[in-house]
This record gives sequence, structure tokens and C-alpha cells, in this order.
Amino acid sequence: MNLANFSKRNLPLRILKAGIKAILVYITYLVFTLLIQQMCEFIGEYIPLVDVFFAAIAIFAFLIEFFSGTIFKYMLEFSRNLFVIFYCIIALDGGIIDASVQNATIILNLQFFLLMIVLINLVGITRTVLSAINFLYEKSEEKIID
Amino acid sequence: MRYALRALKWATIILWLFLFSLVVTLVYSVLNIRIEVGDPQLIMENERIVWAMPAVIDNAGFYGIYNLNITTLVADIDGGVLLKNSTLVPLVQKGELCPLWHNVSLNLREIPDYQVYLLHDTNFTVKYSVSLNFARIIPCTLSLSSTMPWGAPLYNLSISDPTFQSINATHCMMFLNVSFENHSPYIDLNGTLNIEVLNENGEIIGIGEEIINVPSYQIYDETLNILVDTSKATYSGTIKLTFETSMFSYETEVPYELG
Repeated sequence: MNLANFSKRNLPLRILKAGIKAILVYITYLVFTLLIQQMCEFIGEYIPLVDVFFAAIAIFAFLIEFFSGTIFKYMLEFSRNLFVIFYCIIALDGGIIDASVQNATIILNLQFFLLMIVLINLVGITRTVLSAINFLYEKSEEKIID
Repeated sequence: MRYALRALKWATIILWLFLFSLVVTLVYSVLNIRIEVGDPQLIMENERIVWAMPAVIDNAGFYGIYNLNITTLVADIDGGVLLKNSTLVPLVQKGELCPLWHNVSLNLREIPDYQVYLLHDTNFTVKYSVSLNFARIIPCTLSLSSTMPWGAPLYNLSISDPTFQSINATHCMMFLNVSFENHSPYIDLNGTLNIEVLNENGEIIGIGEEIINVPSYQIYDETLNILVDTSKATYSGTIKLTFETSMFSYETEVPYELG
């Protein structure tokens, strides 16, 4: 479906664009890790989760850009939003962060932020679904005109 | 459709901007909170030992600190709660400098079976807990636990068998050796040691009072002389010793037999 849009001529350009987006995500990851470096002692157990999250987002960024102009883009966007929602819920233990260092324990309730992330991604899912419908509508219109 | 998509796009952008700005201002505010904890002061107040911990919270951030609750809990080795003190600050507003005192007050008489702790050294578990609601959206709790050694003020209390020396036909002198070590770093023992010598029928046949002054980590080892009325004396009886200080009173009895 819509793979006809995948002309070999613009394939390198797509890969370049997708690569740049993935690199931007990687740079964001580097900045984020620099910012949280001081807190590594407290959130050490969450570092692998952050790594996996950014890796997944970078892959999604690459694939979404690579498949732009096709229906796969919307499917990937939908998947990315769902991934962010479930990953945040699981990684943040439902919004309660419990970190221990030696004999000190800190419990942070981040449910508000989790709620915000879920809300934003739900809006994103709605937008993606509507965009996909719009995309298919425009495609079918093009076919009729042709 | 396009308008709806555009509206959703802007809604997403606005929500991300709101979340991002909220995170940035919250992190900035947290980094600008300065907490200074002074040296704890030990105050002996009537029957209480009070550890007073001064602190100053300088909230130079953008958000208030709500329901700041500092709790100190002291538990014995089995986990039994001996004392619990809390300090609540309902609100530290943004830009406010809030001095506070967290007092931990210990009254030995209020502790169940406190007499055990007068005679035996042990370790107490001290748990500190600070809970607050930052900006009304981030409740958090910080807990610390440590061990506090407890030194018994009457450690190794030892009362010797009494010896008697006749003075005249109706009275004799009783010699009684009392020794102990004050292991408590907090309590200087200032008070009296009252001695009552009782015969088999419970009648008092001799009374003595000794002023004791034993600072921390000092040993008390004295031989006490008590005048005993031999006219009422029986073959055996009991000696009642009562330690009376401002912090506690401790009573013990030892049997005796006339030689």
C-alpha cells in the first residue's frame, strides 16, 4: 500500500532526512544524560530504561521519516504514541519512583507528569488517526481525478 | 478535517510546551532551595531530654513547599516504637526564608519498660522522615535511618551483701557497697539514693540517704553506712534502694540475712 511513493530516486534523501532526525534524538539523549548526571547515584536503576526509551524513539524517528508520504508513517506514529504511554507507565511504576542510596530512601510521586504524558500522547493518537484518514481520503481523491 | 488536525497539532504543541516549561521551572526551583541544618542542641528540661535541631529553609524557587512534615521515630532493637516526634510546616511560600526547630523530646518515664534501659546498653534505631508536597503536584518523601547507641545510666548495677557491725545493744551499723557505671552520654546522674532496711514484717528498721553525682562515663563505687535498729530486727529482711533523679526513679530490693 502506497509503496509506489517509494521511488528509488529519492531514497538516499529519505535515508539522509531520517538519519538526521535519529541523530537529533541521539543529541537530545546526550543532553538529557548530561543534565541528569548529578542524579545518577539516585536514579541509577532507571538509566537503562532511559537508554532503551531514547533508542526506541530514535528508531521510530528514523522509520517515520523514512516512510513519510505513506500510510506506514501514520501506523508508526500511532505505535510510537502507544509505546510512549505504556513504556512511561511501566518504567515509572505508575508514577511512583522509589530510589535508595545506602540508608536513605526517596519516594517521588510523579503521577501528574505521567498523566500529562498520557494526555499528550492520546491527543497525538487522535491526531494520527485523523491524519491517516485524511491521507487515505486525499489518496483516493487523487486516484479518482487521475 | 484540516482545521481539526491543525487544532490538534497546536494542542499537542501547547501541551508539550506547558510540560517542558513546568519541568524546567520545577527543576530550577528545586535547585534554588537551600536547606541549612544547624548543630543539634541537647537541652535537659525538667524530666526530659530534648534534642533541638535548628534548620533554615530558603525557598528561592517559583513554587511553594506545602505540608512539610519532619518526623523522628526512635525504635528499640525489636522494632517497638519508643518515641515519635513530628514537626509540621504547612507552607513555605516562594521567596520565603523559613526558620524551624525540630525537637525530639525523650521522657524516660513515658517509655514502656524504661527500667530495662537504665541497666542495659542497647542500640536504638532512629528513623528520620521528611515529607512534602512541592508545588502541590510533586509529593515526595525522604527517609533516613541510623543506629543510635544507648548507654545505660545504671549499667552493671551491683549491690553487695551487707555486713553489720554492732554499735550498742539497740543499734548496729550496716555497710552496703553499691556500684554502677554511668554509660549514658546524655544523662548526668544528679539525685539521691534512698535506702530503707526492712525486717521480715516490712517494718523500717534503718534509713539512709546518699546524694549521688555521677557525670557521664563515670563510675560510682561507694560503701554506704546505714544505722539499723536491732531491737526490731529479724533474722532476714530486705533492703530497698531507690534512685531518684530528675530524669527517672529506679527502685530495687535485695534480701539480707543477719549473720
